[in-house]
Amino acid sequence: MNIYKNPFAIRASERIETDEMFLELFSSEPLVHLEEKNDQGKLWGCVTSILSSPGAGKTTLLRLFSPSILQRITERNSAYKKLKKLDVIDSERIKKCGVYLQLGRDYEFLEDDALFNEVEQKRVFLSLLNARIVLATLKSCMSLAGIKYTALDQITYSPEELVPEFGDFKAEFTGKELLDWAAEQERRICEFLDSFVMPDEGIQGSNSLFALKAMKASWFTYKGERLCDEFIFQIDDGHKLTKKQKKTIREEAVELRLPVTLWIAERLETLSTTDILSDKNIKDRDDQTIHLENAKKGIFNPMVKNISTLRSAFSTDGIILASALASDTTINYKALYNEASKKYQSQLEKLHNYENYQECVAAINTQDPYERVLNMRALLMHASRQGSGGVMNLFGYTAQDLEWIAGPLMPMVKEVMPGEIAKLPQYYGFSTLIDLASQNVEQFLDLSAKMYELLVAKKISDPSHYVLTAEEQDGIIREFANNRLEDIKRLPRGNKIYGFLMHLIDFCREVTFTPSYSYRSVTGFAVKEENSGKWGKDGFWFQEEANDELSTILKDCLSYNFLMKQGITQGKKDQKWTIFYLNSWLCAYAHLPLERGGWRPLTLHKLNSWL
Amino acid sequence: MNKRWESYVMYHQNQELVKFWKEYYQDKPDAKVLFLLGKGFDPRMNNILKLFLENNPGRKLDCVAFDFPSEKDPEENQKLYEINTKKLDALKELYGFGYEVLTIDGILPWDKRIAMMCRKVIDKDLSEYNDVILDVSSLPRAFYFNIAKALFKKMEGDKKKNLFFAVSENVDIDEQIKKTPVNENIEPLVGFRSMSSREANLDRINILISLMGEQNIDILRSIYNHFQPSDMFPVLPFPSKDPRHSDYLMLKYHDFFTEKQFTEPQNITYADEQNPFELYRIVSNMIQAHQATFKPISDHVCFGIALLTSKLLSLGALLIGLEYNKCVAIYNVSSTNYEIEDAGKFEQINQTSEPFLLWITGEAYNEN
Repeated sequence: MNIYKNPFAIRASERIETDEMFLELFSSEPLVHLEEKNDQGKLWGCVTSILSSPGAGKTTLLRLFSPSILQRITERNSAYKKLKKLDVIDSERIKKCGVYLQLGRDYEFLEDDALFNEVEQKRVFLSLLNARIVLATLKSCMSLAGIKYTALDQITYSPEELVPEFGDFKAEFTGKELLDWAAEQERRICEFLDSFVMPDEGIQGSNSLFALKAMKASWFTYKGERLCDEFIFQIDDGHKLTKKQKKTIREEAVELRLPVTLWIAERLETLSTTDILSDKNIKDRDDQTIHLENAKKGIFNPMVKNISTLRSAFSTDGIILASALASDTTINYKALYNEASKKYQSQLEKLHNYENYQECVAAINTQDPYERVLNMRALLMHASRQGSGGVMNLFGYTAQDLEWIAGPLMPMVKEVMPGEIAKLPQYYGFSTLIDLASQNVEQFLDLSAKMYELLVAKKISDPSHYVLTAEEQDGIIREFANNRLEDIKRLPRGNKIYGFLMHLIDFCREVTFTPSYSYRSVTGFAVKEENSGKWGKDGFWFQEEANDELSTILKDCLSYNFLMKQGITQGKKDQKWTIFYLNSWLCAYAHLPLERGGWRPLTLHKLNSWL
Repeated sequence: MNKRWESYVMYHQNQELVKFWKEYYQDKPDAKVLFLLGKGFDPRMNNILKLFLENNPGRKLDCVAFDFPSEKDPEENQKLYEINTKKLDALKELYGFGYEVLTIDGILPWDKRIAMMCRKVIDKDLSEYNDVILDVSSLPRAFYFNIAKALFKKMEGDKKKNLFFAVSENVDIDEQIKKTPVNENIEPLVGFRSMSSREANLDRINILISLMGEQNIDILRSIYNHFQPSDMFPVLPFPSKDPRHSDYLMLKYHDFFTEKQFTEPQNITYADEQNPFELYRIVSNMIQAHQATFKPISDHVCFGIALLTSKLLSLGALLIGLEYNKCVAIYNVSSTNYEIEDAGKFEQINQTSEPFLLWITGEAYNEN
C-alpha cells in the first residue's frame, strides 16, 4: 500500500521520512507531560527519563525537538504554541534544540569481562559515549547552520574553559577538528567491536562524561552568530545500555549535578522487576520520570482522535477513518440468535428456580429472534443471581414482570452476549478502536492501518459505498489479535509469557462468561496475598525468591504492554491493590467485553502454577 | 575492478567431492586436515565429515567441534543432539582422529558467545595443518560467519594453507526446522557491522541488498527500518530447483515492496540458487558500481546485506562480508528457539542432502 494512500501504515516517527510529513502528522498532546514538568520548574537543566513500552511515542516526542523540525514549524502547526510556551522557540529563532543520539547494542558489548576490568569498561564506555555526543552535537549544529559536513570548518567552537580531552590546549576549534577527534575515538572502539581483539594502538578511555558539559550551545558559532541558546541532549533507546552503564550516566549527570538538560528515552523493560512491579518505583528515583502510558484517558483519547484526523487528511483518497467505521451491524443473525436462545433456555431450565420463570419463557418464545435472545439472556442472568439456596418466589413471575426483570439487566446483556455467541461481531466502531489501542499509539496505528487498507480497496471497487461493516472490522481485529499472539513467542521467554497469558485468558473467560455475569467482564487480577500483612513496609511478594519467575514474567508482560498495571483502593479497610489488566487486544482474542474494571484476586500458588 | 573470487573452485554432490579429494590428496600423503563443525541437533552435522573420512581413511585429521549447550533446548532437540553426538563418537572410534570440543556457554548473550568463540579460533595454532575445512551445516549463521572471518584473517596471506567452507544443503530439512526469529532490536551481525555503526561518517549513503528467501516479511521490514537505506536491490534465487521460486517470493514480499514504494524493476537481480560464488560475483559488481558512482559525493557507501536466504547462498553473502568487510553490514536475524516438526523424518530426508565444498584461500588462488 502506497504510504500516501494509507498514512496509518507509517508507524514510528523514525520511519516518517520527511520533516514536513512528520509535522503534518504530529499530534501535540504528549507535550502535556513536558508542560507539567515545565510548570514545576523541573524540565530544563536536569535529567529526565522518558519511559514507555515500545510504540508509545518516545522517539516521536524527541524528534519534535530536532533542529530540522524546529526550523520548519510554523503557527499553523498544533505544537507551535506549546513549544513557544516551553521557551523552545520564539517567533524569530530556535532557543533550545535537540542533540539526538540513538544507542545501539555496541555499548553493551563493551562490558567485556574477558578483556577489561570494571574501571576500564567504564572508561571505554565513556569514551565512546563522549565521542558520539560530540558527533551528535555537530550534526545538530550543521542542521542549525544549514550546511553540509564538508563546511564544518566554518563552525567555530570557542570553549570558555579548557577542554583537555580534545588534546590540543587551544582556545578555539573548528567543527572539522572536533569531527576528526570524535571520529578517531569512535574508529578505535568500533574496530575493536568488529574484531574482538584490542587494537595495537589501544583504546583511549575517558574518566568522565565531559562531552555533556563541553558541548555548550553558547560556545558554538557559525559566521560569528550563535546557533542556539541551549542544547537538549537526547539519548534514545537507553534500554540498550547495561545496568552499570546506566548507573554511570546517572552518576555523571545527576549526582555531579551537571547543568545540562538530558532526556533518556527507554523502554519499561529496562526497569528492575521491583521497580516495575512496585508502585513507589519511579517517584523515588533521583532523576525525574515521564511515563508516557500513564496518560489519562483525557489525554490519550483526544490524542488518537487527533492523530486519526491528521492522518486521514494526509491520505490521497480522502477517506476519514473515524466516519468510515460502521458503529452497528446491519445483518440480522436470526439463526445465531435462535440457537443462542435455545442454549440460554436450556441453561435456565437446569436452574432450581426455573419454575418461577416458565411464564416469562413462554412469553419470550413468541418474540422476534433478537428480542428473544436478549430477554432470554436477561432471564438467565436474573435467575442465576437469585442464589443457589435461592429465595423462592411462591407465585412465580408473570409475563408482565418480564419488563422490570429484563430492563435493568439489558446493558449487561448487550455487553456479554456478543462474546458468548460465536460468529457475532463484537468489536466495531471508532470508539472501540480507541479502546483497543490500550493507551499505545503504535497499537492504534497498527489496527487503523489494517482498517484503512481495506477502506481504500473498498473505495476503489465502489467509490460511493465504502464504509467498513461491523463484521469487517471485527474480522480485522481478530486476525490482528491472533497474529500478535504468535509474535509473543518470538520474545525472550516468549513461550513462558504466552503460556501464562493463555492461562490468564482462560481464567478471565471462565469467570466472565457465567450465567449470572456477576463479576461482569473480568479482564484483570490482583495478588490475593498482597494485603495479607505477610510483607512489611519495604517488602513485596515479588521480592521473594519463590516468586522470582512469576515476577519476571509479569515484568515482561508489563514491559511489552501485554498487561497494564493500575493501583486501586478497595475493600473493608481501604486496602490497596495492584491490578494487572489484560491489554485490550488480548481481550479481543478472548472475546471478552472491553468494559474495564472487573478483576479477581488470585493466590500466588495459582499464579505460579500457570508458569 | 578485481574480485578475489572472480575465478573460483567449488564442488558439489558426493561424487564430485570424492573425486576431488582423491585427486587432491594423491600427491599429499602427509597433509594434515583440521575439520571444524558445530555440535547440534541438525542431522547434517556429520554428513561431510563422514564422507571425508570414508574416502580418505588414512588421512591425518583433527576435528574441532563447537558446542553451545543450553538447557533451554526442547527435549526433542536434545535427543537429536545426543544421536548426532553418538554418531560423531562412532566416527571417532572408527577412524581415530584428534578431537577437541570448544564449549561456549549458551546462557551468554549472542554477541558475547560469538566474541568468546572467535577468540578461541584466533588463538588456535594452525601451523601443523595443511587444510582447514569449516563445515557450517549445523552452525548458526551468526557463529559461522564469525568463525569463517577469524579463519580467513588468519589464513588469507598464507599461500600454502588451504581454507575450505563446506555445507550439506537440504531445503527439506530447513523447512522441518521451525525457527522463531527475534525481529525486535535488529542490528547488523557483530563482526560485520563495519561503517554502519560509525556515527562519524556524516556523508554515509546506505544501500540495501536483500537476499530474498523464505523468511518472515516482518524481518525484512525490521531490517529496512533499522538500516534506513536510500535504495534497495532485491536478489532473487534463479535459476532454482523450483523455476517459480522467485515468483513466489515476489508475491510473498509484495506488501513490503509496495509499502516502501519500491517501483524499480531494474533493481531486481537474480543469482543461481546453488552457487554462492555466483551470488558473490553479482553483489560484488553492484558494490563496485555503486562505489564508483557515488565517489564524487560520498566516500562512505554502506551496503546492508539482508540474509533472508538459504544456508548455501548465505555463504555467498559471507564471501562478500569477508572481501568488503569495511563497507558491508550483514543483517542476520537470530532465532530464540528451533522447533522440529517431525524429527522422525529427519533421518530419511537427510539421505537427500547434497554436500558443497567451496575453496576459499590457498593453492587454488596462488596465481590470482
